[in-house]
Formats: sequence, structure tokens, C-alpha cells
Amino acid sequence: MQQKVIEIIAEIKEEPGLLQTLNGASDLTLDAALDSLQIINFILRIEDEFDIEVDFDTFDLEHLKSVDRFSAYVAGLTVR
Amino acid sequence: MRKAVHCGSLESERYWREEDLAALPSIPDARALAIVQAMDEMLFVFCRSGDILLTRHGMDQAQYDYLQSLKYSFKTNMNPLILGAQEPDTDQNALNVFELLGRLGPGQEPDRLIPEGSLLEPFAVLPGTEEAVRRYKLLPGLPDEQTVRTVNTKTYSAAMRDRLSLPNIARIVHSVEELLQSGQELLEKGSFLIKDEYGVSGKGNQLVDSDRMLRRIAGYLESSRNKDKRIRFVLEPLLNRETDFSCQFHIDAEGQISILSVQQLVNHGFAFGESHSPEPTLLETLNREGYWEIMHNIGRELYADGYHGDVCVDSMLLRDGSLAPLVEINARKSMSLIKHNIDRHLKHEGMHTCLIQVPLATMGEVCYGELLQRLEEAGILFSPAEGEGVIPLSSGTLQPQVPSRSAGSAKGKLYASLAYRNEDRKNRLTGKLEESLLRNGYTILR
Repeated sequence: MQQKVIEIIAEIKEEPGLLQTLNGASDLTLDAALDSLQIINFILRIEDEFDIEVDFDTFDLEHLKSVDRFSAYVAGLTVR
Repeated sequence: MRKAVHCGSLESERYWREEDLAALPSIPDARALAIVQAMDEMLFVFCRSGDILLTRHGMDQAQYDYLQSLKYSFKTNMNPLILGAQEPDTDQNALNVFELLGRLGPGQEPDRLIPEGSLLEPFAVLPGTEEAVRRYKLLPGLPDEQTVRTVNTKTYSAAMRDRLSLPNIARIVHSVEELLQSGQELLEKGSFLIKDEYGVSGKGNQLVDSDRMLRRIAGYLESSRNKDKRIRFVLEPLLNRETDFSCQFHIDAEGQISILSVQQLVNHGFAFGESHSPEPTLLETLNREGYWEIMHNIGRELYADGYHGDVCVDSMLLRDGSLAPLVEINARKSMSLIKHNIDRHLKHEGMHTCLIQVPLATMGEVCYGELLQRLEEAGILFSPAEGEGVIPLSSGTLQPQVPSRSAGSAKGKLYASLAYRNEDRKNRLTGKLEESLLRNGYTILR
């Protein structure tokens, strides 16, 4: 899942170079520099990819502290 | 000359938005809000000698001293505007600066700074502006708040295209069913945007490129978050843009319209990136296409509807060479007007200028004065003698105050104006600026 998350970030940012520079520890808002609009588009793409639904109103920005943390959050939604 | 008080909240659309309007998906971001709230420092560019600037957080002394050295001669509050014990349950950050001023206890800095009978020069007229005018005995004469709200909606801009017989690609939807129907029709031809009534660049404009995404947005609008709320969005096919630019003009109280400037924008995605003076080829196109007459017509209609003051109209040049003169009306001051006013102040022959923003992160406390010193040591801090260099425009946006910030890095932005003789010099300035920021402990976010 981690690799897929990174691929979607690179797609949203339109920066293929991120495929090489991002890893599990990368912060999505600092290292990947996703801005508020890109975060929404990123989550919508993730929903599409993993067939999940994120609750925007309760979504905690702490989930974006690393690719690994975000992947764990998505994994938690997929098993429900 | 009568003194003016300059003050405002640059996130104006947040305060105009009616509570009962349904909203597109968004994630509350206190750090992003903190940056925008600190941008009010940049309103110093509108100050004439002896004017007063009021800011939410107070300006760093080093920035104030630097601006004075550039012959910006104004008075300002050096301390944050803070509600006292009489308002224990109020969330300060939910208030715009006028609401904050209206609720301040007596004897605070603004009481000493604001001369009675001054003129208020707001960034935009917001809820609370009229109360602030009364409380500080400022001159009346601003347009009515409800008028300002109305003329800043996306539906108003869309209707204006019809009023002026301009091509109008907008569809207004008032229900989820209409959204789905119009959205599916638009998707047959390509991606489209859903625009919130008070959306701004970076927030409130949702790009839809698939039926699944359209249905997801529709589902969100039907969720409990939006239960019983009014649906009103503008849908527009995504334009194939070549150049974003905007026109700044002023409508005085008698309805006289003065075109002030055009600024070209380099946007990153839908967010503001860099603003610079227009290329001669763009100006030729505008002259040829009767653009100025369209701007005057927009101004006349706005005045007829009860608005006067500053206006920024967003426009686009499209890849097929055609012009979209009216993308959106912003009946307020703007970042491009800030850029224009810096240009007026510099007035150097043969010098180019641009306004940039650099997203940053920091791990620990950073001293703003040290950054200014580092820029000076690197030989890139603008001085009137040199006539070239970097002018940092705000101290508070670099490390804004976020309530209950968790440990770790903080996000901020540097807003700066660059004055340069040619592109080589500009590249040298930006290179050295980035180097200085890194040395001062900032990480640049791209």
C-alpha cells in the first residue's frame, strides 16, 4: 500500500521525482508539500483506489504525518 | 490630509460565507488559517505618511524598522490584539480583525493609535466593520456589508457575464440532482470545476474529472454535514488556460472608475504562486479585445448595485488565443493590488518587480530579525540605495501563532517582493534567498 500511496502523491503533485524521494517516513504536508486542496484531491483518489470512504469532518491531519501512518489509517478503513 | 487606518482579514471569504450554505469537502487546517491571518501585515503597502496599520498579531520590531528605512512611515501595534478576561469563552481565531477590534477592552493599543475622525481603509468590508467604525469614531462611507457579500459571490460573477453579454459557460445548481445532471453533461466533454459561492484559490474550487468523483461529492453534499443546508454552486468546464491575470480598479464614492493595474499570475495548481507585471504582448491583446471597456462596464454595474471601493477582476488568456475577461469579481483589495502599490513606491526606471511566496517549515523558534540580517549579509536585502533586492513583506507569516500546536515542525510562508534589473539578476536573488532561508533553519516546501 505504501508504494501506491506514494504513486498517488506523485500524481497529485505532478512530480514523478517524488517516487524516488518519498518513503514510509515522509510527511505528506512537509516532505510531499501537499496543500489543502491537494489533500482533498489526494484523499478522493485514495478513496477511489482502495474503495473506502474517509470522513472529512473528523479527519485528523496527524494521519498525514507520515506515509506509513496514513497507510495504516487507510488499512484500518479497508477492513471495516 | 486625513489619516487612514489600514486593517483587514485577508481570508475575507471565510467571513462572508453564510452558515446555511452547503460546503464541499475540506479539512480544517489551523496552520493554514494562521498563515493567512498573519498576512494582514502586508497592508503596510497602502499606508501613506502618518497612517495607521492595525494587525492581528502585531508586527515584529525588526520588520517595522526595516520598512521605516524604506520610507514607509506609519504607526502600528507591536502587540497582538487579544481579548481580555471579559470574553473568556470566545475563540479569537474565529473572529475577523474588525470583530476583534470591536470586542477589545478599553485602553488597548488601538485606542491610543487611532485618531478620531480617521478614514477606515479595510482590505474588505466584513461583518463587524461598521461596528468598528462606530466604536473608534471613524468616518462612515463604506459600502453596505450585505452588498459586499452579494457582489463577491460566484453566482454574481456568472450573472454579470450575462448582463454584459459576455460568453457565459457557468451553470448554477441548487440541488444535488441538478449537480449530478449538469455534472454528467459536462463530464462528457471533459473535466469541470465546482465552485463554492465564496471559494478562493486553493479552497472551495473542486476539480471533477470522473463520474465516481462527481457521485462522491454529491454523496458528501447529502451527508449529515450538509443536512438542511442550501445548495448553490457554480459549475464551469475547466478552461484551457494559457495565462492567468487580473485587473485592479477603484470605484470612488461618486462612481468614478480608475483602472490601476494589470498583474500576471503564475499559479501553482489553483493556488497563488507569483505575481508580476504583464508582458507587452498581453497588454496588446487586452487593447485589441476591448478589455478595458469591459472592466469599466463591470465597475459601472457594481456601482449601480451599491458597491464602491477596490475591485480585482480575475481574467484568463486561453490556449486558443481567446480571452476570458471575467472569470471572477473580487470586490476587495487583493494580492495583486499589494504588488501594484509596492511598484508605485519603488518607482525605479528599468527595474522589474514580482511578488513571490515561499512555503516553509521550521523545527524550532526562528528569529525574524536574524533572517533580515542574513539577507543583508548576503547582499540581497532591498535598500533604496541599491534599488534592487528582496523586500520581505510580513514577519508573522513565517512562523505564525497556532493555538495548541503539537510538537515538531511548524509551517509558514515568506511573502516577498523582488526588484531586479533582468532575469539573470532575478535568478541570483531567488537562489541566494533560498540559501539564506535554509541557513536560518527553514525548510522550503515545494
